[in-house]
Amino acid sequence: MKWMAFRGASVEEIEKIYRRGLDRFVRAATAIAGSESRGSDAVQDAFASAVRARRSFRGDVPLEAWIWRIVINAAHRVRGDVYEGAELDDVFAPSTNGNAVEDLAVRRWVAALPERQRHVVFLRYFAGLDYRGIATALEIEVGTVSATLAAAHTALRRSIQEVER
Amino acid sequence: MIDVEPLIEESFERMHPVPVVTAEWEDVLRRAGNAPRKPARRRIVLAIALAALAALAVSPLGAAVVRSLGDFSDWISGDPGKPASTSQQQAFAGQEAHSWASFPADTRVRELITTERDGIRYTLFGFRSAEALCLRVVATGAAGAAASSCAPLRDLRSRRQPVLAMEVDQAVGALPGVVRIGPDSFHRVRASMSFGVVADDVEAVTLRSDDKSRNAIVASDSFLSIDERPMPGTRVRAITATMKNGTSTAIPFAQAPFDTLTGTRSASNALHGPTGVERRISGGTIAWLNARKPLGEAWPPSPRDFFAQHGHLLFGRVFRPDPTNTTRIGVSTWDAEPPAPLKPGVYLCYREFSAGGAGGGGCNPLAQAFARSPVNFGITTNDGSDQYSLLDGYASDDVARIDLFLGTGEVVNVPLEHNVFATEFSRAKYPLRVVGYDSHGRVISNDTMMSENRPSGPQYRPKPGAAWRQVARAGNAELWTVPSEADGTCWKLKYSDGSGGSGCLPPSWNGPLRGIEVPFTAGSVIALQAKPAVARVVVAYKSGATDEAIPTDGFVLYAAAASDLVTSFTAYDSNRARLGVLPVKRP
Repeated sequence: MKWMAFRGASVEEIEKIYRRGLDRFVRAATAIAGSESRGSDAVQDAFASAVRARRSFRGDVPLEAWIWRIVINAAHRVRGDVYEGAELDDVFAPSTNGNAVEDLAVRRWVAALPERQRHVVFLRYFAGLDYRGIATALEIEVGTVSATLAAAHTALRRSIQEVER
Repeated sequence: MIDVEPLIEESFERMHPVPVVTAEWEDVLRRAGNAPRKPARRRIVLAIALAALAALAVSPLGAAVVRSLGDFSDWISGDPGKPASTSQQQAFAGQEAHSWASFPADTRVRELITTERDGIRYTLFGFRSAEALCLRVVATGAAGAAASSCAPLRDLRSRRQPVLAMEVDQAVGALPGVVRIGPDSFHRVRASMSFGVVADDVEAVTLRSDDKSRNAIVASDSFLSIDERPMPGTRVRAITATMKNGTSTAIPFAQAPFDTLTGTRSASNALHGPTGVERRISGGTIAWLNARKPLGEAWPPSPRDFFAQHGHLLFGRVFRPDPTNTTRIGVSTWDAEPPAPLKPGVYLCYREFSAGGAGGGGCNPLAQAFARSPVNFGITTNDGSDQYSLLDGYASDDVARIDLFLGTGEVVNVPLEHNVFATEFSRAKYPLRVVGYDSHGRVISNDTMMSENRPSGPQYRPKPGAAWRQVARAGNAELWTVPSEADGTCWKLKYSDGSGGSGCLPPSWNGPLRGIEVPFTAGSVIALQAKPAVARVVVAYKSGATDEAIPTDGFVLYAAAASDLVTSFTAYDSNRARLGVLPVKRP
């Protein structure tokens, strides 16, 4: 018989990650959920889930990456619950101050990304995770992260050239 | 090759700034069922605040200086307002402690104006550091916001007008729902605030927006104007100062941009300074960097730094060339490593380290760092409301001096220290010319910027009061247009996925057709403008196939076949006479 060993995580460890990275969690969750209030709610729910499920944490990946996965899923769930069928304008809410040309290119680029790629981009630029952290959070290979970002960057370059033309 | 990562980071920073949040760990535990129940507190509360007094700060406004510096002498040598409260000062100091590029620890903040509107309390603070004057508004209550701007004191000393606007149309909070303007949706803001400093003998400051005029609060040698619940797109178009003797003066400033079409440039400004270069430089180096001399300060550890994630630091040092500005400029060499968006090799990179933590930068392959010019510069603007931008960059050893020629005729000798330089300038003073000189005073670099990032002038502005109109729809795209002030056409292309493009076209052109958006890839949506005589357009494909499109209201929006490439559009009039051909160019 094969036994699965669970390292588990303590409430204190989870709280430490919460306090240290709350702004980044809220920022990424907001981008996915479509509004700051939903993003904030998703983060609170995600950490509550992490506390509840802490004994199932295996310890085979960094705890923070494990929590990121929960936050992404929670934000996605909130968005799906509330905004099913919404356009990406809701993800990148309308500007109150006009749009710079480069913002338009980035907005256009993000809107065109498939969902999984978009999550990679959010984790890279909102969460500041490295390739390994992103791979863990999304349960994909490091090579996939690298290739995804490379493809996304190529698409953005094209988008910028189109906007500037 | 465009280096996109800094662009993404900067755009994300603007579109989704890092929120100021308050930890509510007890709420997490309660949701997890791990905590005793207590009256529910709503999730994470977005902190507003005085804590945010952060980004700026300074020394007492009092201090030295002479009394003969003109009408702004109260700002240059006096003590406007009253000292900030202990808690306000502590909040400021606490935030500053987290910032590597912060203001001095003994910075003293002054409270200038406090007012309450629509459930929001606004407090205008002022502080001075070295040779800069900074203002900051903190809004708390029904909505929270903070905005700040710093101006070099030289701008006050040389200023001909009695008012200096430092922020114009800074948004405060957002109201529920969105307002559609043409194809776009915008949030309504709870308020829009503008503020600045005034000379000693200013009686009133009047701001005229698109829909009304209002008088600002003038006190403590400052002004603060709050426009409550403005409609999206409403902007301050004119600022007037009325003196105690009854005379009035128009105040130049940079209008906050709205949408993607307009640039910033005052009609009364002109390009100044020398034209061309007197000596051409090829190549160039920074000797101390190559020799790894430990000048200035060490490169701070910054694990989230773009460069740190794509290579390893070979050598880098940081300087503060401009004493009027707390921004430090770092110059460094990096070895890029795969996997990375950069090709493997050694890069010369520069980076801003600003008080707020944000900072731009860029990299070039070391061997090509000075291939285009011995002076490499960038311009950083916090947002469209801030009246000041930072010009900074790095120069090769060939450069002994850099001058910035402003559109007003002023010349700023740009502080240059160990090959890096930085200076702040007013956005109301475009066009700019940045000139580099060698040690013999010969011009060796000469760059101009006619306006802020994008074209300016009436041909690039929608006509006031004109409404956007959807003129065509095809595939997943809509084409919207509005007449420009110069009787041309401004357009927006909006795709169903939320993306799009925009631009403006002059009123006249040669030929029966002109391209608005003509992507060369198969399956694209192509937008054309047609002259009134054009009755139909024949679309030719590479395979030899043809199709037909009919203009509506002078525009053609055509969804091209996904499996073929469009090669040309041929225009015909109603008598089937051929008017002309618009070929589709491919790179």
